[in-house]
Order: sequence, then C-alpha cells, then structure tokens
Amino acid sequence: MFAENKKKFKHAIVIGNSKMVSELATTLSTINEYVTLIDNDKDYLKSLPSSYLGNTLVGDPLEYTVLDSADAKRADIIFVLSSDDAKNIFIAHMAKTYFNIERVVIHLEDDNLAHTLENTGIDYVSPTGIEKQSFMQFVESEGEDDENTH
Amino acid sequence: MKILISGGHTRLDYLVDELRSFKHELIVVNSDLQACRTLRKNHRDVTIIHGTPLDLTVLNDAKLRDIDLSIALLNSDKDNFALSMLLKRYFEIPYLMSSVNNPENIAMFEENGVRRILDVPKLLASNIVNAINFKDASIVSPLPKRDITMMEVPVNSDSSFIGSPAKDLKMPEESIITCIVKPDESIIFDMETRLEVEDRLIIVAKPKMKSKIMKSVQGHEIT
Repeated sequence: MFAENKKKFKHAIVIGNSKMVSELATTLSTINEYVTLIDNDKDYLKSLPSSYLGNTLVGDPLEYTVLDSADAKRADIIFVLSSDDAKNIFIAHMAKTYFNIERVVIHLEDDNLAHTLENTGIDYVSPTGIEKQSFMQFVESEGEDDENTH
Repeated sequence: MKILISGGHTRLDYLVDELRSFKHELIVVNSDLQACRTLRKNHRDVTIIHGTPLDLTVLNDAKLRDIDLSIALLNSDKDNFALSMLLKRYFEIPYLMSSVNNPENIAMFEENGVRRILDVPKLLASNIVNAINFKDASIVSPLPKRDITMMEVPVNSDSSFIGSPAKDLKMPEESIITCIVKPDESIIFDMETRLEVEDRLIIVAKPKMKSKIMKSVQGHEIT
C-alpha cells in the first residue's frame, strides 16, 4: 500500500540500526531509484533482507566524508533514525548545512528536543509523542464512553 | 554576565574559579554527581544543578531565561551541538560557546550560530608545539591567526638590561612588548619602567621572530 501511493525520490539516504529501519529502507528501495543505507555495523548491513534493493555503506554518518561518499549532495531525502537523539540532530544539521538535502526527517526519542529543529526545515517523528498521543486519545475516548453511559 | 556551563568534568573547577574571579554569575549543569559535590563544597555562590544538560526538564529547573552566555563542555561534538541548538532556539541565549573535539566540525558549529569555538585538540597541539619550539618562553594565548602570537618571556639574571629602563631593551622588528608582569603588579608597557629579574614580558610578535626575541631578552637564542 505504501509503495503504491507514495512519492518517489531520486536518491534516499537512510541512517539507523533497527528492524524498523531495515524495513523502511527495504520498502523505500522498492519504490525509489536509489537508496543508500548507512551504518557502522557491517554485520547489520549484511543481515538486511534479500528484498532490500538499495546500496549499503559502512561508516560513521557523523562524519562528513561518510555522507559525501553516500553521494548526499544528490540526495533529495534523508531519514536519520538512530536511537541517539543528539546524533540525529547533528547529522540532520549536517545534511542541511553542507548537502542542502531538501527533506530531512529524524527520529527523536525525546520530543522536547524538537526545539533544536525550529526554523531549520528539519522534520521529526517522536515515538514518545505518538505513544503519548495514542494513550491520551484512549483516555479521552474512555471519558466519552463514560459520559455516554451516564 | 550570567553564564551557563554544561559538562566539563576535568576542567570545571578551574574554569569556575577563573570566571568567579571576574565576578560572573554562574549556573552549572552537570551529570557527574561527584563533580557537583566538589563544586558545591568549593563554590557556595554558584548555582549547581545535577542532571543531564540535554534534558529540557533539567534546563527548565536551572531557570535559564536571562542567561547571557552558554559554554558547552560535554564529551562529544554531537551532544555539544544539540545542546547549543536547544539553548539557542528554546532559551534564546544570545552568545554560545562550545568545545569541539573534531576540527572538521568547527564550520558546522559556526554556521549554526555557535560564535566561539574551543577547539580542544588544536589548543592542546598548539601548546605542545609551542612548548617544544619556545622552551623558555610560553604562549599566553593563541591569537585568531597562526601568523601572530602572544608570548610570555621571563627576564633572567643573564639579561644585560637588568635595572635599566625598558627603552634600553632593543626588541627585534615585528615584535612589541605589551605588558610587564612584576611580582606584585602588571604594568602596561612604559618605556621608563625599570626591568628586574623575575619580571615577565608579554610580547606580541610574528612567530618567526622568537629566536631574536629570546636573544634580546635573555641574551641567548633558542635552538
């Protein structure tokens, strides 16, 4: 479903080391011309599913030369999804400052750190925020149910 | 000036001493409990918050709204950068300084509004190189460009002008004495000040002049 409806990017870069990241990269690789997944764990990159059609690059994405090797200047979107918020913030700014990547999306565990991204054009996804919102919706709907009952 | 210092385990006590000697008001946020305890024992007049600086709830506890300057001394460049961006954009702190471990990251800090960079490896390397090159002299402060330096040269008993006014000391070209540090006071350079053993001269010069300066002040060239 994702593949059918979503916009195609010429060159997507994905950074991170988790099951969710490898699944995202795999999906992106089926709909985009060029996808590069970067991580400094060689074994993780080797363990990607066979359905992953993109490239891999072993290296520390905190380093300019690694992003440059991934051809970041040609990238039109980058997903920075490590579990380290400060690392994601740093790489995102590097992507904007040096490589002028149009869409930069990062993972933030602590959504309070979203203030670091104000007026930068960097987007973020916060599982904490999403979970909090979901639970609050649950609480609110419970409240509505109670009102309906009474 | 009201200054926030974040992190800085090994350098913290010294830095706080220095800044308090200039009467700055200090807030320290540090995740190292022992460092906080030591600091609290030595500096009753400093606000010390124990906690992770990259945690907004900790920073809110520190009441940072009217801070003039932030000095970020966390262990990694990424942490210092993220903290600086938080302090700039959320707390609107106007002046940001940060230590940077990787010189390749300096430009990114600067381009994102961190106005003064403490390039730790560069300072260390510069001090070591200067210690090797200058021997008896020491570098007081690295200046903005490598082509000029400020050095401190002691007047020793071999100097030929002991007891004479400073105007008798013939300095080489491309060097100038700015200050004479005496045991009990520092004097802005004055031609009539008499030079004595134990005085130290603060000299601004081109680095290439160091041998000639040493010869003029101490009577021998450095090798």
